Amino acid sequence: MNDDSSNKQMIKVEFKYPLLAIAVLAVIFTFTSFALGYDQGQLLSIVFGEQAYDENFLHELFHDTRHALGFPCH
Amino acid sequence: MILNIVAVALLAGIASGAIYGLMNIAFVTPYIDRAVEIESSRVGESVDIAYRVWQKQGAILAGLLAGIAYSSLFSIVYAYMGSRNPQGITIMRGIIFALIIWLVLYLMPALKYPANPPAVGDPETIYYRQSIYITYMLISGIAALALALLRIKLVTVMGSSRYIKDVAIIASYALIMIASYILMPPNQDTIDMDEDILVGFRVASATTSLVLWLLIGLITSLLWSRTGLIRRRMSML
Repeated sequence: MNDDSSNKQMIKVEFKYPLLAIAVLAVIFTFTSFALGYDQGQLLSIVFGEQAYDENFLHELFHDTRHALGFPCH
Repeated sequence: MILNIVAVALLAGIASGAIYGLMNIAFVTPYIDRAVEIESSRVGESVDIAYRVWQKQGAILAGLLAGIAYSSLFSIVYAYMGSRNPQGITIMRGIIFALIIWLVLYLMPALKYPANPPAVGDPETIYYRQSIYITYMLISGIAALALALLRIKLVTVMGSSRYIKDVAIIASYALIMIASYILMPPNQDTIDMDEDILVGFRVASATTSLVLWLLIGLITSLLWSRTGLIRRRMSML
């Protein structure tokens, strides 16, 4: 009587941690989460200067979702 | 391969974020509209309808952005889990993982600093409230991450008695969060809002956030495990 297990071969699955992809995702996460949850004019001030702080465009545009995600808002 | 991992994260984020944006408009925005009406009436003004329409359109864009942001974070963690245990990349694990991240990054901060509708926060304290919120969120996230890495180390070093380690890890996280809850300063803004709007808003916020994370977990793990987009090297032993 044959032992079935002797005919089976084990398969090893390997997956290397993709550091470059992780770095790209970390940049995307940092930028998008800051714009969405924390920006008070800082990002657009790079282009529009002080006016960006007065208009607070991204804050106002993302206003409802900022509240919905639980981030502090006014 | 690098492109595939980023593409999968973006795809899962856009799909989840689109649904999240629509859910917010259906379930969260009605509470925000009522709170904005109260906010306007307090200063003797009427609601700027055109402005509110613009903000609601922004909610779709913001939903997509939230999906992309959170999906990127999810993929970073999911890829690490996959590298530790390539055979453990399953849909169920993806969903459980997403649930844990929601508990750590939404529910824990919300227990100390609950989500509030408009007309509750004082614009003068926005930077202070942001700093205490992100600090608490970072404490929760870093504690969970450190303990998860410690658990991996313990399993490698000590082998069995897995459940004792899990209980010890969860108890350690609970202790850190209880201590942080006590030590972190409160949000000092006065909560002056109708109870039904406040509670309804918070329940809707927690629910749509949970669904967002679960969708990200489901779609990411589906794309990882069922499409062949993320290839893993297989060899015979």
